[in-house]
Amino acid sequence: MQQRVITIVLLIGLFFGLLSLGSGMMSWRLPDREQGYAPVQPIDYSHRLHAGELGIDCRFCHWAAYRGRYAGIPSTDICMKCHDVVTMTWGQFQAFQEAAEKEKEAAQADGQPDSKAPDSKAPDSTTTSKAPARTKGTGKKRATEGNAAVAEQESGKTAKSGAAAAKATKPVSATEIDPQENKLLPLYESLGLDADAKPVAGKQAHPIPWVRVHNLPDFVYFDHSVHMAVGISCQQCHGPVESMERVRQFESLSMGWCITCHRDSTKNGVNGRVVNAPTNCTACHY
Amino acid sequence: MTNKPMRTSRSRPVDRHVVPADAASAGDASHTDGIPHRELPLASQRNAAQVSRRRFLEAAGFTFSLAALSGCRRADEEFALPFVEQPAGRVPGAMTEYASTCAGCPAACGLLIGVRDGRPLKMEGMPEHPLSRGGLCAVGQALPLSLYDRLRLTVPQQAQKDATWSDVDKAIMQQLDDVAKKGGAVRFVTGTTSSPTLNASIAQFLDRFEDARHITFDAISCTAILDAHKATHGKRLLPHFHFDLAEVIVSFGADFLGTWISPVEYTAAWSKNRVPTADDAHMSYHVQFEGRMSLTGSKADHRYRLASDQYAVVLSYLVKRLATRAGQTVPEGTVGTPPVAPAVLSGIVDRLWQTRGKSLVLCDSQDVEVQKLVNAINHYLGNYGKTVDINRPSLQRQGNDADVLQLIEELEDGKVGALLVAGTDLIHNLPNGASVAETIGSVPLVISFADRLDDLAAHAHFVCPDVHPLLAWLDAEPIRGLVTLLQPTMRPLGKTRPILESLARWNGQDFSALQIVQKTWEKQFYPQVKKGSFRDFWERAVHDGFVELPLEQSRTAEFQADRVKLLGDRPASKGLSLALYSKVGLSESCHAHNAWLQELPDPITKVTWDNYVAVSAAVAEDLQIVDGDLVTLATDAGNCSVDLPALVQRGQHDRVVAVALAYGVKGTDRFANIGPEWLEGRPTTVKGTPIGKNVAPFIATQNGTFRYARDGVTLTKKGGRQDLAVTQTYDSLTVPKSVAPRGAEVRDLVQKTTLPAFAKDPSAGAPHHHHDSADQLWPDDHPKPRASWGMTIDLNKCSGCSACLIACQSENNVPVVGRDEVRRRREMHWIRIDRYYSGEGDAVRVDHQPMMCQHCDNAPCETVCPVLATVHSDEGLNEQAYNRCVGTRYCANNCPYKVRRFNWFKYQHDDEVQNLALNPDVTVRMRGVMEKCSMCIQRIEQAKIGARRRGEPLADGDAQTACQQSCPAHAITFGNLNDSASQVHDTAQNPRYYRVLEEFNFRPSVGYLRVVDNSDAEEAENGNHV
Repeated sequence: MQQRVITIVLLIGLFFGLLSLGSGMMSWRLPDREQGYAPVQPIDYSHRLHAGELGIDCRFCHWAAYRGRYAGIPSTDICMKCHDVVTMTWGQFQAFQEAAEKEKEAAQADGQPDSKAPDSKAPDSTTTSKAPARTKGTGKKRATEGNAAVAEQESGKTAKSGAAAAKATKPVSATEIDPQENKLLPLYESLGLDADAKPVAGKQAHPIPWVRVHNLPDFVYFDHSVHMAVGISCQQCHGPVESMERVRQFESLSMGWCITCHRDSTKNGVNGRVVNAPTNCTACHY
Repeated sequence: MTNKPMRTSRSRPVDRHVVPADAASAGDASHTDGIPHRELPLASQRNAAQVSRRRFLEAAGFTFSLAALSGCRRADEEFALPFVEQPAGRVPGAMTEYASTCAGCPAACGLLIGVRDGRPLKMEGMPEHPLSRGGLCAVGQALPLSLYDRLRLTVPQQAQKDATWSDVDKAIMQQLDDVAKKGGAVRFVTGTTSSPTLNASIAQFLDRFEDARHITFDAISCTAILDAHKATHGKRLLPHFHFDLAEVIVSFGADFLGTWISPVEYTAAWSKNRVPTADDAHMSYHVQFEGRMSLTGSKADHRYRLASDQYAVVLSYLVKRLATRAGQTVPEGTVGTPPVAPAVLSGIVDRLWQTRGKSLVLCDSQDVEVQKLVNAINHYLGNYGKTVDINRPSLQRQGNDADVLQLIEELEDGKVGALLVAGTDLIHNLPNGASVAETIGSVPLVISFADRLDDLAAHAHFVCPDVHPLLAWLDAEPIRGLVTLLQPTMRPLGKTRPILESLARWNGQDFSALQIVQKTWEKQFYPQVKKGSFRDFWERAVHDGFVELPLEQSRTAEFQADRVKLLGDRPASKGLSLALYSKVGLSESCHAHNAWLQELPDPITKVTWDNYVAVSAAVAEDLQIVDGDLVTLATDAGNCSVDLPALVQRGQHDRVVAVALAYGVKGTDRFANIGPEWLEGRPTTVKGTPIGKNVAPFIATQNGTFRYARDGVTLTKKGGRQDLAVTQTYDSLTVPKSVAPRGAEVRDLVQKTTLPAFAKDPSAGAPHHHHDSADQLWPDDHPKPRASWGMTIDLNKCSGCSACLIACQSENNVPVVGRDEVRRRREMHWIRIDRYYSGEGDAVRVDHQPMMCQHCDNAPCETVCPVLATVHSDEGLNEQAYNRCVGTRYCANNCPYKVRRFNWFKYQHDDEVQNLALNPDVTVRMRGVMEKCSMCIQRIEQAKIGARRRGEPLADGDAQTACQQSCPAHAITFGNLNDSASQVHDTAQNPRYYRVLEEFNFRPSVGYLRVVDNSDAEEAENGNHV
């Protein structure tokens, strides 16, 4: 009798154990369990908007990817290269643009000359050249201070637009934007600026606490630059980031996934190039 | 237990295993027999209808493991914090090198500081540096660990309490003004500092006081050499020795490969002449006379045992013979009878005379009269201006013992108004430190610049911590006319302040260290170059790390022969002669806080974590002692005595006992718990007791110099033991006769030959036994289509200095395990330098052989790993995957070279500051996994990636291992054996090339170049298979 009781107790324990194991397994930390992980970020930064609609090259912000091991999370000053002059929300901008179009049409109807900025070398300048901007002393300085890496960027388009934007006449203060809407506030916060992008005495700059999405296991060493050097696209591992509102882990990033690609690449080459993608343990583990 | 059959099947009914209560009480033998009694009562007193213990444990274990597993969840959100403003040009995770100068000792070798993500991590030698030529010693390699040390002072101290700089500055300036007004004596004591800027700053600071002096005190000084040159050449200077030009080197005790003046520079130069080739069988001839067994003695072609009080007689004899040969008047004095065979000395005289102008005679004696004899010999040989350069003298040792002795007198007389001490610990390093400490107590103002509370700082009114040398702007001038820069690689830690800034502040100026250094350079050095603007000159200097100034017009100093006196009548003492020396690695007491250096095995004795009394076999027999027996060393005068473990040293002079200085340093009891904590663990040292004992009180003061060699000591057995933590306990390659197979009485691990034999046959010294490589255990299935990484170590160049060991430790996150674990043979160094003795007496030969994973093609470790954690790469590397390893240790058992290291514990401590010294490119191994040399695979991978990024093929030299990079002797070659243009391919074709245990056909990727002794013998002493 007693034995049966104990057996039953143990079985119940087993049941609950299995139950909790099952639920635990759902969020268990194995590389291939991380697929689809899309944590909420401190700023609702939209890759879809920046990389997709605006067509900014990945490497404009993640410039370290082709120079070293880490792609790097962009520093706040990289955001400010554009947002120094681009201060309104996308919705507002579109509304502004529509209004501008109408104004233009009206002006053309009146026979007045085109007020469009002459500096429109950048192919996508139509989207940004007329953006209203604060004309600020520091804005230009910071743009020229941008490090050599950024100067090399093929997509320095948006930075160039600063000059064009400066010609726009109607500056819009960030305070005019509804604080609920203004996603740039955390950016200013990080730089120690107030909502009007003015320095606040005693306020310290601090990094934006982005949540890491792609987190490789501790024992693996991955180098972005060599993958870029042989012509692997960002999307091949990170998925269609340009269509993601919030970044999520697209691939499993498990060892099996890596090795499959390495084997295929050695066999078939990458973009028609012959590569020797190593499959030695110490290619990644050391 | 024995006669009861064990249960094997789980299908047995449960109650079969329960002992019925009645049966137990009846003492039924069939049930109770063999069951331990303490298990019985519990089971028997309960009801029979119970689950067996085993079954319960099975179920419970399963349930618990499930519960534990269900605890696994996604790790907490991890943040990726970017910069607010990215510093220009810094690539995250990339190593940037900054040229600087090593400040580990005054030798000032060229340094490349590897900085990653804003933190200095790895010290490397600067290949372009004219002195160190890419080498860097263990001390230099260990700098990062002393930087990331949370016990360093971070704030200034006033009256032993933390203070602020403004308070300290105010108080100090006030007191200095008082001293200046009263006209009190100000004494500024530093170790040797060749820094033109610091010396100028000190001079400027002292300028406002009437009676002020800058005194240079070296813990191990070379004052006698300087003073002797003052006598014989009219100028107090230390010559710059050119070992690369010397074909015959005769050294009397000078350990120039180990610790003497500038060992890295000397090793680099010395090793240049140790490479006989088949076309040019020629190498330098090196004779060493010494009492203790030094690293240099261990590499000499001939080594003669001579106590330091006998140097005078032998040198007098040489002076007389060489003066006669040179046709000059023999100096006055008695020649005496040297205690070395006349034939030997005649041979040396002949060799020296034949290589006039290309020879070098050195001595480490602190007796000025003896050093004068050395000067005379070098003069007769015409070495001045050639191998002995006094036009561009060395500034690497400037200590002036007479000044220090005068300071001690002044302190005793209470004449000093203010004492400032930087870069040296007077109290710890002076023979009468205790009494000096008392006299210092009465000095009105004592300021220390120490970066931690050393003995002197504890007596100082103010401690103004200087920044770590890796974080400072400073300069150095190791050789007159060669100025080098130190540049900061990180902001100062805590609130430390460069000494230059402190001095300027107290002089009422508010300059930064950079401004002060720049000012000196603009005024002093830029006018000598006069090329481009100062800004160009400065930027060039910062980039290169050094500037060679044009040579000033040389002024020949006339040799004054009348100052030399023969000393053949010196009575040789009959008693023991004590030799105090500094160990390779722990060269000065300031490095005692560095755990890497504490655990660095001494290159000769292989002892870690201790100093000890090294005695000869004769003394050991006399006192009936063995290694580790405690002995008492005392002076005859009875003023000091110390208890230390003994160590029997082969090749040591019968009368000589040797003890290392720089131990017993205050605060080193911090290492008490450095090892793993476990049941049987013993602390590295007892809390409150420093590592080792300070033997500075034994330093004798005689004729105005500190003598590190003295007589008048007694050694007695104390009783009791202190086991030494030794990493090597087998000393010989000779197999005991009873078990030696015929023809293999001497193992051929270290192969050697002599120069005449090598000249006849470059492959001389190769073992005679041949093995059939077709007779294979392993299939030849290791294709290496791309690279085949290989390494060659030239044993003739390798001096055993152990710089590679610390380089490897720093690069590969090798943990420190503590004294007890070393004692259990669990040290973790990936490289060990095997040291083998052969011969007896004067004929004791020492061989050093760096031994690390040999990366065998047919690796015995790989065949036994049950989980494939160690496998072979297609580039010839034996790989170890830590996260696959389950710790069976089969591989270590099967490794014929015994180079695998097992993590018995989690050795890394949770010291957040110390952990900053870890290399982020290498996994920190966890408990329970095997590790070993990876041939710096992270560097190979980085080199490959770099080449790929540049779109170029990998060039020879792109990938360098850490050990190879900083080897002062350039003994290590590493590269791609498949590349016929590579240097390592070249060395593998060398007739001296061999591989250890080749006969077993492991086909290691690491090879060695045979030792060649420059002796007249046709066969190597105790050679192989002759």
